[in-house]
This record gives sequence, C-alpha cells and structure tokens, in this order.
Amino acid sequence: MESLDLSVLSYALLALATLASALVVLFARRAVYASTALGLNTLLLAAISLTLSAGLVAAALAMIGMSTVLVSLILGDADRPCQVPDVGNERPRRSRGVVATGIGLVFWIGVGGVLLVGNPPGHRGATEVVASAGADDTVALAAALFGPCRLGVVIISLIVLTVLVGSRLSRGEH
Amino acid sequence: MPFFLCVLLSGALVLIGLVGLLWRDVHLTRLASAALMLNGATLLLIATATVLRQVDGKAVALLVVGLLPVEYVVGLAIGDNGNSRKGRGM
Repeated sequence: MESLDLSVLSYALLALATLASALVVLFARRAVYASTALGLNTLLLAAISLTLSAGLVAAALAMIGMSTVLVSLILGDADRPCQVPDVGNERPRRSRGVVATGIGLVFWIGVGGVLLVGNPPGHRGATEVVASAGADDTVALAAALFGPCRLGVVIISLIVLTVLVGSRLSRGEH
Repeated sequence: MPFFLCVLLSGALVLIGLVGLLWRDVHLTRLASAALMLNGATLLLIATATVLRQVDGKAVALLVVGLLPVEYVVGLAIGDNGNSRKGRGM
C-alpha cells in the first residue's frame, strides 16, 4: 500500500490533535466526553497509520474509533457527571474473576502474538510472505492471520476470553 | 510521519495514559487511560515495523488493536458488577 506523503505542518497538526484528544481524556469531567475523545484519538491514530502505510491496522483502528465515537454520542448521558466513589470507601478486593480475565488477556496477546510472529511448522511469517512473493503488506498480513494454525489459535483465544467474561458476568448476576 | 515524531507521540500517549491510570478515580476514565496506553503501544509497533520493514510488527499491532475493545468491554463489565454489588450492600 502506498503511504500518504504529507507536509511537515500536516504531521505536526496530526500529532498535536492526537495529544490534545489524549489530554481531553485525562481531564474530562464527564464520561461521555472522555469516551468521545478516546474515539477521536483512535481515529487520529488510524490517520497516522495510513501515513506509515499500515492499511489493515488503520482500517481496524478507524472502525474501532468510529464505533467508540458513535456509541459515546448515542448512548452517552451528557447530563450525568462521572461517578466518583465515596471518600473513605475501601477499594474493592480483586476477585478471582478479574484475575482469570487478566490471565485470558495475557493468553490472547502472548500465545496469539508468538504464533503470529513465529513460524509454526508448515507456515511462514508475514515478512517471509512479502519477501518470497513480493506481496503487499496487507496481503501478507491477511495470509499470516488466516493461516489454518493461526486462525485456530485466534478462535481458541476468543473462546477462552468469552468463557471467562461470561463466567464473570454470570457470577455477578447470582 | 517521521519516525522520531512517532516515538515522541507514542511516549506521550503512554505517559498520559499512565498518569490517568494512577491519578484518576473514575472507573471509565481509567479504562480510557489504559486504552490510550494501548494506542501508544500500537503507534510504536507500527512505526518500528515500517522503519525495519518487518510486517510481523504490524501483525502484532493488529493484535494490540484487537485488545482495545476487549479491554473496554471487560472493564465495563467489571465496573457494572462492582456497582451492582455495592447496590446490594455487598
């Protein structure tokens, strides 16, 4: 994918806007403002990714950013300030569900990442696909992601995460 | 975008996220701060992968991007669960 070539001023403006949205997230008094600013930050990051010729990542970031902004604007209650915990309350103890969810996330990024970057038997990494076939970055990423082995790992990770989150939620209901 | 600007921006995002995570008491703002840190990590991965011409870095960036909504949903679920427990007096 061709990278976007912009002027230095455009890059500076893009970076300043990203920083400004991050600061809005930090200092926002209302939850809806923080969520909307985070969505805008993600959208700006998608634009930066485009200048770095990372089309697939930019598309994912743009979808997540857009959905965050839309959900914040549609579902956000602008009249209700952020919920601040009462002073003097003890912090809630970390339950087993939170720990299990954390382990699930580590599993997702650890095992998934290792298998994406590493070379399981019979499968090639994305960089090798580019080098051997002269393929585009996006094509190479898709080839690496949708190889049978890696896709299986991603699906298993998602199932583990879903089960962990589901058990966590059901434990909260009872 | 120049590499040094990406590194600076990524460091700033991670720093702002860390400050928000440690300083703010609001649950949703903490979630957003953690998401900012993930955004910073993604930017650094993409920039480094582009400079080093390693597509694998972009694959890992895609993985980190996938973590963003998961982190938000799990954090919201935990927050809702905590609020409902408070409501029940637990």
